[in-house]
Amino acid sequence: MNVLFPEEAVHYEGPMSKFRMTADSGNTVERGFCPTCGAQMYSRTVEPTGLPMRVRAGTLDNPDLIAPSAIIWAESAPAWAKLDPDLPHHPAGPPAHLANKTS
Amino acid sequence: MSTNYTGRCTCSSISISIVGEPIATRQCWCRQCQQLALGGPSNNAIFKAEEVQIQGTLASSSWAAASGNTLTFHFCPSCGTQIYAQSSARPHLKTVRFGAIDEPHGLSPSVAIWTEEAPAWAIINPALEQWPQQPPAPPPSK
Ligand SMILES: [Zn+2]
Ligand SMILES: [Zn+2]
Repeated sequence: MNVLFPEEAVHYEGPMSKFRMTADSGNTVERGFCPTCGAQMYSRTVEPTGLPMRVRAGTLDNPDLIAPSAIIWAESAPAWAKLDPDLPHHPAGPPAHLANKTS
Repeated sequence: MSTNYTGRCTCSSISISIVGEPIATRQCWCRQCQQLALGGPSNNAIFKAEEVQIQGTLASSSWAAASGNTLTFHFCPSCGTQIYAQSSARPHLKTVRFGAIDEPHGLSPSVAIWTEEAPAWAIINPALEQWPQQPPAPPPSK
C-alpha cells in the first residue's frame, strides 16, 4: 500500500538503510527501510527520474486518511487475495498517466 | 524429512527451508504489522520452530505485544525483508511471513486477526474466521 508524493515533499529523520534493485517494471528502484526494525519506509525510482515517491502507507500515523485508488501488479497477487472490485485493476505496473500522478 | 517449503528475502542473502506443514495460517491487521507490511496486513504461517531452518545472518527487533508477551521479529539487514517472528510465550513456534516463502506455496490465510485495527478501506475476505483482537493460541502440537 503506497501513497504517492513528489519526492521533494517528503522528509525523513533518523538513519535509513537503502536497498537498490531492478523492479519487475525494469526500473531501478531504491527502497528505504529502518535499520533497527526493518520497516519499509519508501520506494523511489532512481532510473528513470521524475516519478513520484511511494511512501509506505503503514508508516503514516493515520493510515485511514487515504484509501488506495488503484491496484497495480494485480496479476502477481496470490489467488486468495481479495482485491476491492470497485478499484481499477492493472495487471502490471501503472499506466503512464497514473505513474506520474502524485495525488 | 523432505523439504516442503523454501524461501528467501528480496536480495537472497537469507534462505529458508521448512519441513512439515503449518499449524495455522493467519492474516494480522494489528497496527504494528501494518507498519512492517507496508500498510497491508501481515500474512503468516506458523510452524514448529525446529522445522524451520534459516541460512544467512538476520537482524532482529522486538516489541511488547498487547498480550504482554514480547514478540521478536527477524528480518534481512541488507534488504529489510521480514522473515519470521517468535513470541516469548511460544518459543516452540516460528511465525514465517508469506512473502518470504517461494511461490507457488499454495498457502492462504485461514483466519484474520486484530481486524478492529484495520483501516476503514481494508478489504477482508468475509469467508475468513475473524477476530477483532488476538485469537486463542494455536494447539501446542499437531
Ligand atoms: Zn524502526
Ligand atoms: Zn535480503
